[in-house]
Amino acid sequence: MTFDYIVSGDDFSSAGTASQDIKKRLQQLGVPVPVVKRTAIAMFEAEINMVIHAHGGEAHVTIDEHKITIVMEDHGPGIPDIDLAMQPGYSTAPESARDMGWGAGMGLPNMKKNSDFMKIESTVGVGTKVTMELNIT
Amino acid sequence: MTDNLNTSQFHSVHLHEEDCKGCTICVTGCPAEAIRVRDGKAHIIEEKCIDCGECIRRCPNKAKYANSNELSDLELFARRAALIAPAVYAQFNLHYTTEQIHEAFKSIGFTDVVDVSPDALSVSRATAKLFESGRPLPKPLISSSCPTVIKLIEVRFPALIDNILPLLPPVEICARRVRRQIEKELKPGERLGIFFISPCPAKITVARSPVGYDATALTGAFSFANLYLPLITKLREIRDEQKKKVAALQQSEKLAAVQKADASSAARLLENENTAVPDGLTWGRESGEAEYVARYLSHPERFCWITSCGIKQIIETLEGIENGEYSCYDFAEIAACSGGCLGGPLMIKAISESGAHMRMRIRERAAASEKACEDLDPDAIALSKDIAPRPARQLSTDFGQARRMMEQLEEIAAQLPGLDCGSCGAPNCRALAEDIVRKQAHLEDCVTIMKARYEELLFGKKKKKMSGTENPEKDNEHDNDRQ
Repeated sequence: MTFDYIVSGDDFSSAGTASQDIKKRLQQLGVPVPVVKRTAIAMFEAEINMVIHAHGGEAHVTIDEHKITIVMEDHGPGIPDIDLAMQPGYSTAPESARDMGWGAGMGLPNMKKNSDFMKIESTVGVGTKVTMELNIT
Repeated sequence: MTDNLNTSQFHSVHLHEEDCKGCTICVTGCPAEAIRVRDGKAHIIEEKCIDCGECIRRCPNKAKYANSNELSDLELFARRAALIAPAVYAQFNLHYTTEQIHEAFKSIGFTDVVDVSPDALSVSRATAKLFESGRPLPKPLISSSCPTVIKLIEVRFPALIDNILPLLPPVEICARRVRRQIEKELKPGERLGIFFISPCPAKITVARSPVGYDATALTGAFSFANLYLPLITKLREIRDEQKKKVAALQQSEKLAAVQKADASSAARLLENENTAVPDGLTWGRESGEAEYVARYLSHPERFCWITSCGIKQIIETLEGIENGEYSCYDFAEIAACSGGCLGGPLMIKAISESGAHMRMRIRERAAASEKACEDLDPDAIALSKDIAPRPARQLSTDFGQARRMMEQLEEIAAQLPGLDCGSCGAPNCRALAEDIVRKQAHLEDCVTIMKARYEELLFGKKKKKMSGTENPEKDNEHDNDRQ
């Protein structure tokens, strides 16, 4: 079962709608509360990242019997140094995002912390694909 | 007494069936999507209801009401205490003194009238102690005083249950205090009844089914809206009586000014004298609670809080807390009603006016509340029972079955027109799809689909977008009907 979302770029007011919808669906499915919470946080951070850095993109969430797979794909600037980007506190967020309270450099670390598996594929100038998996136990 | 008392553990909202037209205004306005119109009448889905009273506000036919105690119930008790919350005092114009308000409550049947504001201060003080105890606390702690917020968390934000301030709400602390005091004075065989005068259905429900603790010291609750007329009638009598007796009834020149002068100049007059005299009375309005907590902290400047009120806004705030956006804050004062308890569905005055009353009454009550405020140990007033998640959204307890149902739900939702008109009796098309999957509704409940079917049968027209009409099995059914 897969759900697809378009995350619109530069629109902070609608950022978070995809993760909110997924949260509702996971509750409908009876997924344990802590897993729902971690999924919501991981996906919300990813959504915000997409809006801040990549003018939006697409989110695909697959719910299998044992795991939730979140694929976030954008056609933004790409991440030149993934290891650096993963460091807590590191951020390239623009001033506009910082004014809104974002850009603390905790997005990627938070996504990693809240998921059971995370993979980042990125090509500068082409885009970024983040895959996160959470086990349903 | 129990005959007419609602027994639902979830809510106190009742329906005058004969007044319900089945219009679906409450259905589409319900923030919990907990109402359906079936057989022409509005029904509440118990486990989804968060007791916010939005349906009472919205019903154009006044068919919804909060079922509470009636004055005749008081006859069973030798001592009858009315607990008055700050927001209730604010419902009365300033030319009525606190003493007169208390007298009015006594004249309609109560023997004891107790102000809850000192207990609100006690809770704030204990909350401050909790913050300074060095215990690890989730951030932010969410105020436990609004039962609708707790219920919303149970249903929709179960991950935030641990964030709820683990302290009893002021009304319970007050009820226990009053019970301790008055019980000593009872003669053998006499009964004590303690009743909360409630601004909302949720706090009426709490008097019978508390959340977070088992035994409540309350006997019941009254809807303030039901008491307003008898109270205001008595208040007028009391005032007229006093007017006759002495011309100098006015307690001070300022109160006289309030009576005579226009509202704004009176407000200015009072405000000059009363700037920043804090009092438990402000608990009933937005930010009132947090300001008190801050006041009892040794470093109030380090205390960060957020406030949120009004059902739409609080859902956004809780989403934010769940997403981890507000983890830099210590405290979240969240109230379901816009304007805090002043905006309760059973309140009479508009928030603009009651808010002004509250500001001005502060002076009158400050000293009394401060004096009566108790220094309580947080452990002594701790919540004693776990707040449990309420999985009202869950389609099935079996994960495989739930997944199959969600797939069906998606298929059905794709057939529905997406107008969210509410005519089927469900709040929106997705909710109808969910009801169909739960076998509580039919595709034909959708008027758009039904209309397309009729048109097809009558004129042989087939509308392009109505894929719902392409179900051969169903079409056959209708053909049979026609024969």
